[in-house]
Amino acid sequence: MTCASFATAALPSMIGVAVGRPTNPREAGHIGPASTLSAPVQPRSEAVRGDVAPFGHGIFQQPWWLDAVAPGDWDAVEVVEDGEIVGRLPFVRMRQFGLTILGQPSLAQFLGPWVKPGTGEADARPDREDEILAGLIEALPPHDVFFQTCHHSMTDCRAFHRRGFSHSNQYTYVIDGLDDHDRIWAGFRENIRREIRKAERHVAVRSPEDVETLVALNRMTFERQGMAPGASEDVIRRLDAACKARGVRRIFVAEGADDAPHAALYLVWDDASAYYLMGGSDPSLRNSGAMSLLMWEAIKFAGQVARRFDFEGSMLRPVERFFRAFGGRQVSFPRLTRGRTLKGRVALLAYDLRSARKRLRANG
Amino acid sequence: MGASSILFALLAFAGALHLLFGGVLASTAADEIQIALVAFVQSSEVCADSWLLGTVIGSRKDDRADNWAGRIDPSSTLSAPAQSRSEPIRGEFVPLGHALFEQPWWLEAVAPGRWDAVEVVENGEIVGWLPFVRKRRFGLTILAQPELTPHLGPWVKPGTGEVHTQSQRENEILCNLIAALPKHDIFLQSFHPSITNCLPFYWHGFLQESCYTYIIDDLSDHDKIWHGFRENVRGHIRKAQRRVIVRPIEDVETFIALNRMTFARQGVSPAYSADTIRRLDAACGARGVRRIFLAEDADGAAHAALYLIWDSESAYTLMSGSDPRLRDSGAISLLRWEAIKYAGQVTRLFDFEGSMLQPIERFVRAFGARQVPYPKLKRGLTLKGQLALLAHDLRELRNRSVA
Repeated sequence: MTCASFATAALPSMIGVAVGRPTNPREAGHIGPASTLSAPVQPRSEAVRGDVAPFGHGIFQQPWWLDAVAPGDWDAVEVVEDGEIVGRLPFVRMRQFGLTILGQPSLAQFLGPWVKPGTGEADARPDREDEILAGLIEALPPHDVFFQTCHHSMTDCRAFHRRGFSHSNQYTYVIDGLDDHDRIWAGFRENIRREIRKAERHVAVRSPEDVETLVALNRMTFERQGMAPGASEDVIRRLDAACKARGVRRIFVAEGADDAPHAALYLVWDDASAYYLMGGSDPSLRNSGAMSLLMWEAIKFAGQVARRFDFEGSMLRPVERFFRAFGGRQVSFPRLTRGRTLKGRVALLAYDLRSARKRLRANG
Repeated sequence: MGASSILFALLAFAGALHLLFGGVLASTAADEIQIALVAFVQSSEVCADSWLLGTVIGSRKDDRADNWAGRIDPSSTLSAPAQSRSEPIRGEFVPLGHALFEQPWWLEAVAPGRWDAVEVVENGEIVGWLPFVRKRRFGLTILAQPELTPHLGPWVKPGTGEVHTQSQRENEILCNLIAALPKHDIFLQSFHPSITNCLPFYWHGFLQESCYTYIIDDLSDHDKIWHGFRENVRGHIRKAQRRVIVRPIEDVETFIALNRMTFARQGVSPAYSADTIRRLDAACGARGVRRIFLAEDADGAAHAALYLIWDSESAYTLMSGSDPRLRDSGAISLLRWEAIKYAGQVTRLFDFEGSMLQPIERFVRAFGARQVPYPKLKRGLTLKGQLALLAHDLRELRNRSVA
């Protein structure tokens, strides 16, 4: 069971090593070449230079989060109105295949733009939003390819579509109403309930402060699947330190009688939602049902800190099947892509077709 | 087609081939490139898919000659649970589908003898259904939707029981429908907005893109709808009300004349033939699911006309047309308003069939409609299909950046 990073599953080759400007964004305080700036867009302002931004669709858009997962490689464009940030779009700049790619780091599942919720006549709101998003798009530094998945609260992607972006759907599963454990339990597929009952007899769940057990199990999982890990051990450690300092994470580990770790799960949360960020299990102990038990424990715990549990989705068939078994509601979130130059367009189309060919061969 | 475009095409294919096949060009691929390249260089229609799908004029005869209609090739790829069109579906009306576009009578009107469907049957009951039209173009077999049919795609019988059981069942049915599709190079369809789960298509190598239409949800409150219009639209309507009167007509020829004028003014060949309109009108008229609104002035001059169709769920402005000489009378806005009011008597929603083109979008949005996404699915199943899709996408991108 792995879902360490959705991004790695979705974009195995698009997301390479981040080699953007090695400036610390907090020191830099400005965005790329001035030439791309349009009037209403300004360099990153004081409000954002701090640790916590008063906006965004969740934890992944926070400066401290991006500092942890992409130190020095991320940046953001903004639209400021009357000294207030009304629009923002963070990104990571990467080089791959000779292309400049504005993407997102692994372990930052939902990025994309944020627009301050509008007031006023409903009729005028779409136009205002469109203007803000247009400002953000225009302010993006030069690139060949733009490639991000957004939070599911971003439902209107027309502003992007009009400007040459493609919008496609990806899927996650969410569980609402976290107070009602009975209802959630009843919503699990029968085999999940059975696995959890079995696991409860064989393993004990504890919440260590130390991330190393999770890192080890997470690496094992990738190894078993013959996949390159989405995030390096260093990134996980740095992110854990950042989350721990802010009290927004909990690690769940299932251990057998001899203290052997069977599986581990990493949960993070913001005000609105708790996210299953990553996990891992010992391949030799996979049928102990420990991962299902951890998921159940994490869902129960999530009710104490957030309103919703988000599986962070997966387009991979077996992973999707596992998530779906927990009875969550399917929610789509947008993937926005754009090839801005000829080579960017060709690369993007070829990438999409190539990944489609792979899926065709695997499932067709 | 200028030299730069051809260079663009060559470059694109070189790059694409390199990325797709790791730079190794199999000799069989050479022919395919030729086909795709020729396809790419031909024609310059702006309409997104018309290049790949062709227009109905001229292609219908070829399709008929194919002589496959009405049933799936016996040597096709059908898997056990999915079957070709069965007796209950051969009939007039099927108790399934998201909209009237999936009804056999509709498909028979817009694509006589050229459509087919795969289905999944459980205990003698159809629980999944995916209609399509098979087209031949550039030596490619394309499964698509007919003209004048904004949405097609699969239908799965709503299940009961727990959420995960239902979604598991839905995924299985969709997977079976996909597996049952006859041999093709390309699949290209716009699905109905109520189809939200495209995961099984993704797993089977389809690419999905979201497009938008515009919907008015509450047709009962005319005041609210009226005030949802932009001021300029209300102005147009008031102006038109002084110059023209709106009445329903039974004569489709008057409509066709205005509709053809619109295409002529835009300098594009019509996306659908007058014969198709006549056939569709006969089918819709017989079932009482259409109304033609005509705006004419005191002298009896026809300014504009609008063709409204509906099912139990939604009404659609399927076509319209106007006399270019009388375009500034605001008649089209008035017709839309009258159609919206009328739709409230026969159905629940009003669907503008919104365009992704911004000028039309602004016009439609001015009517206070809500934007609703619908998925567009495409797949290249063979190498030549994949290359043609690539060419199609590149054209679309180029057209969009030109626009």
